[in-house]
Amino acid sequence: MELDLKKLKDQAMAEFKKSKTLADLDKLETKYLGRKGELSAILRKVKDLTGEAKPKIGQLANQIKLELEKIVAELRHEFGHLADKAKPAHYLDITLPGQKPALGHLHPITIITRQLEEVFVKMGFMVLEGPELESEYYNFESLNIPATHPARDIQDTFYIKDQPGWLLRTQTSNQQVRTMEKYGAPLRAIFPGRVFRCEATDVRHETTFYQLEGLMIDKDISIAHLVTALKVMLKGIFKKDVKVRLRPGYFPFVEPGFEVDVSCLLCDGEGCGLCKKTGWVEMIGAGLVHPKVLQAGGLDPKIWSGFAFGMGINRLVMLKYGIDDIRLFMSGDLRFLEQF
Amino acid sequence: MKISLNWLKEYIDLPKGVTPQELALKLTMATVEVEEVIEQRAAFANMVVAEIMEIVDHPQADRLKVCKVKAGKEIYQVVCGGNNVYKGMKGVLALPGATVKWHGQGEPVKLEKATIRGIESFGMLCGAQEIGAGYELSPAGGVIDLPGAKAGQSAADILGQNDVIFDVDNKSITHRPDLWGHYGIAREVAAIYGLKFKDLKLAKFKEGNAVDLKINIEDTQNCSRYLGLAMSGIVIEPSPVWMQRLLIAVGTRPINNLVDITNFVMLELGRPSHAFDRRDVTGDAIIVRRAAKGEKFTTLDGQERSLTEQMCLVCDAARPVDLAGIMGGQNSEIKNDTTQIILELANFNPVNIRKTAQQLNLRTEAATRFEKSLAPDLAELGLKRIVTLIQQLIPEAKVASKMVDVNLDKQEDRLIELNLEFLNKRVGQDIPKKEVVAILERLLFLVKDKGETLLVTPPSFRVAKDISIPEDLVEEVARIYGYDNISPRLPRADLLLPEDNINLLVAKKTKDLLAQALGSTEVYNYSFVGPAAASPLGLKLTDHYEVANFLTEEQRYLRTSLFENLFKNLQSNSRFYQTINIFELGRVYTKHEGGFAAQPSQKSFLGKQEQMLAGLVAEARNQKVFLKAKGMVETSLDYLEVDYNYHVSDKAPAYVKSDRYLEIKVADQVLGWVGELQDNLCQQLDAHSQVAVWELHFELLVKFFQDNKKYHALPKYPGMAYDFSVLVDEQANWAKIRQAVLEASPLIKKVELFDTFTLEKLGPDKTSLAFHVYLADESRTLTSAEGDGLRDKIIDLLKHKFKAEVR
Repeated sequence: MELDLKKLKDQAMAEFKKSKTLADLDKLETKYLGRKGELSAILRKVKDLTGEAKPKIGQLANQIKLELEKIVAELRHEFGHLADKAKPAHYLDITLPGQKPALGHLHPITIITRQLEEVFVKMGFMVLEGPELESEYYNFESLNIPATHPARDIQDTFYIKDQPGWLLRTQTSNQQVRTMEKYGAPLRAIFPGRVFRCEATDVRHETTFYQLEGLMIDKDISIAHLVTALKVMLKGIFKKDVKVRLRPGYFPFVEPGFEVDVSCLLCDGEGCGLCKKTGWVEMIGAGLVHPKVLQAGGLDPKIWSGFAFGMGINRLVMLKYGIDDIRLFMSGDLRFLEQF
Repeated sequence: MKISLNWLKEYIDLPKGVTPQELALKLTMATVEVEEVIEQRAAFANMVVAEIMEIVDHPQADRLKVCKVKAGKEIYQVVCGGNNVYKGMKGVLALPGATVKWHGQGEPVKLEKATIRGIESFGMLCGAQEIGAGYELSPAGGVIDLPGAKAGQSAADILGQNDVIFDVDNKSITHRPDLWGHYGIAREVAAIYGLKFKDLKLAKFKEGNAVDLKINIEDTQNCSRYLGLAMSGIVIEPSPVWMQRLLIAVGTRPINNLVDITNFVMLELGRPSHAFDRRDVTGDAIIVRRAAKGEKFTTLDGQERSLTEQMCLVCDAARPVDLAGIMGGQNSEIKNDTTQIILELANFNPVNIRKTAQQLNLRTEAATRFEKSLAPDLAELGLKRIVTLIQQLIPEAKVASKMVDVNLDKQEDRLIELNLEFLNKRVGQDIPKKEVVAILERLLFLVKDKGETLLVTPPSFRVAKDISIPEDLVEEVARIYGYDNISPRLPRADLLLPEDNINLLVAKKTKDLLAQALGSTEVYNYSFVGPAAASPLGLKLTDHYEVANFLTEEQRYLRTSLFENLFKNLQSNSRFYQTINIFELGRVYTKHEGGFAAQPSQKSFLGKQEQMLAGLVAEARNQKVFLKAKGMVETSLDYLEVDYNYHVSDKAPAYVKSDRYLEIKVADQVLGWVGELQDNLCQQLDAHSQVAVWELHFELLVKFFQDNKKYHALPKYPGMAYDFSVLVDEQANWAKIRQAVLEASPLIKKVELFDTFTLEKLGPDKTSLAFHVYLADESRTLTSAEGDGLRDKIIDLLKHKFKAEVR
């Protein structure tokens, strides 16, 4: 049997070396190394052997198999290159552009809003949507903005003809009381969405833009908590530690209210054109939820307290991509949209 | 609002070494946002006092002189057009690098060395207007003449331009009427730094009997208090330089002593007032009443205004003399020969003032302050301050009447209980009681210590619209304590998984697929449309909600279909693109009852605002663009595991070809549709291409979305594939052919079209269809005889049922 094997090896080697084409090689490979090939036939017989011969013959057969496989691989490699040279007619200019499947583009506000949502979901916040066509009650009254407040002027708010008390929401804060009604407390939620302001448009002003509002209600929520939450979320958004400062700000639905400045992202607080040389960029309005708002949401201010914050998404997107005209977002201009 | 540092110093002594920048930062962090710190001196850089040593006529110009001037050691040659120059005169020389306004007009320009009509000029001698200095310093057409000055001295010093101006963001003080003047800001600075606050100088005066002033408030809704006082012995002249400087510093133009005093007190106390020429107040009578509808009144600025019956007027016995709280009347203004005046300090309804100012588009400084809700007792303080200043500036002036006070304001005593534990919990940090009390007292609150709670009375100037609940006091304490001094702490919250928003999940999956696999680009369009966008779609404007106060015709209505704006996108992008593939997910607003309640626990609902997902595909010379859109929709629905069917329907919208329209249904519900745009509309939109459109009800898509994939065992036995190529009538319906073939045997697992074409030589109105048919059985291997038998059966079926020519 040992002899058979050696004979087979020599014969196979000789034939492999004589082969001229890939096709020849394929045939020979099947003949000797295939499942029904000659070497396989011998290997099958090994299992019938007994005593010392079994491992010895088995080893030899395997060694021969490896050697033959090696020579086949080498020849195949060689033939491959020969084949290349043999077919100059199929020359391909590999410097031609690749065949790129056409990709569409997500709107930049979609892209950034998703990133923001992701940060808040990680922190245990729900993401909720709400009506754009809204009532004065949820947009103003329930937020401690009385009928005489300037924000309710038609200079700022779009109202709907023949539908008293209907308007286009001016802020995503409209979701605060709706959410308290539905979910009660404790509560953690953000509300991204489209808002409307009745003002003439220019490079910095739009009738239609996007905000993200956040609300957390629990027991004994404090200013110290708000500061920390803002720092954590800003780190999530900007992927680095940012300095945050709170200063007094006025929004009727929070008390106390804050303007939250973030250390300028362009100059890191050194002072530049973006931050008007102050080192700070105004980014978020925030505060502790006003007790009247909690009451409107059916929550007892003696038990519950909370913080709320809101920011403009457009501004964040403009900062991130260096966009200098807010009107581009609603333009539907593909020359703009294809850049994202 | 502009705040002058020199003015603030009238009431406080700042600690030594505090720079204006530091003060601005402190104010920003504790009280109001200071947007800019402007050093007056900076505007006078490169300007010095120069003495004229020699004057000769300019050889080329009659009106110009060539002067040699000496500023310190240097001698310069300048060309000057001033008509008042003389040898030995000391004026202000602006050197190259200085910024001036030519003839006091236009934008400021930076001076350079110049050659004027052939003569070199090293800077210029300036008129007062050219450098924004006190206007009295130079005569018309002349340059500044400073007899007492020394050559070489800095111009800023000699002109008293050493002030620093803080530009405060008005938005940050809308809720703080007490901060609309220097006195209030100084009070805050005193509280922040713990400074002593100097009392306002008020002179005692004797009431007079010469004038019997009668005041009657008829419109009690809009006027709650009217304080009046007559004065005689008034001499109108320019106000003193110190007052002019402060006024100019904060951007108010000096007029005369009396007007300047009322402006000064407004900028000091935030308290507007008005002065009438007594000669023009008929009968020494003041009547506050409502205007008649359409009543005409000419204000100080000479404009005749048409009033409504909502507006409030101050009148004398015969006629209106003042548009209450906004602007005085031209008929009774202070004139150069005025000797007797009547002063008005009244409390007007802030809401009415705001509305009137808005409607008349007359937002005066007075109106801006009134609309913030002034402290009621400020009227009396304001009047006393005005009388004090008048007597200081015009020693001859006398009070000629009683101080008549018609006061309907109710005194409000406000007492707030502040629990210290509550305070510390809200701040998130313990602030010692001693410090809390000290901060409140610095802010002029009255504090009674009751152990665990404090009984706090806010000062009168903080009562209106400002401090009313314990939370307000938390803010007061925390902001002065310093938000920066509060250590951050993490909130404790229950470990709860946030509820998933399936709407957002489906939106994300769909948008990602469309944009990242199907080559479609997401657009955001306005919720607004105009008639021009609605009409091409055949949509009725009466079905649209109308914006009551729309800005432009284009944004007058709310969209009822995403296509109203998507077609605009098609039109605008067709200029640059041959191929357009866009989609939008957004709300449309229709006149049906929606799901959002307008009020809690009420049965009234807002209008329907359904989320729709729609798109369009435009490709030049692609006759089958419909199939492309259809394919995109199919891939999307398959991906979302929606179990849907197509239905041929006659409900195509007017803008879609009726024979290229398919409804997409899930069970009985219409999920959406695919269609092709009418050719005439394509032309109208300048789209030089075929355009297919598709639309899905997004909320139904969410409803029918499934995440339900189940593994099917791979086939154990090989199947067979047969290819068919048939020539059929163009009108033959592939869906029917496919269905018939599928039904020919349960062994047929799949019928798949892989080619279709139409060629003239194949015969008119004929189409060639090529398709694969896959046969398999889950339990055995099929024989070739079975396969061939089925093939023959299919051929037979195609020939007889569809009159197909099998090739």
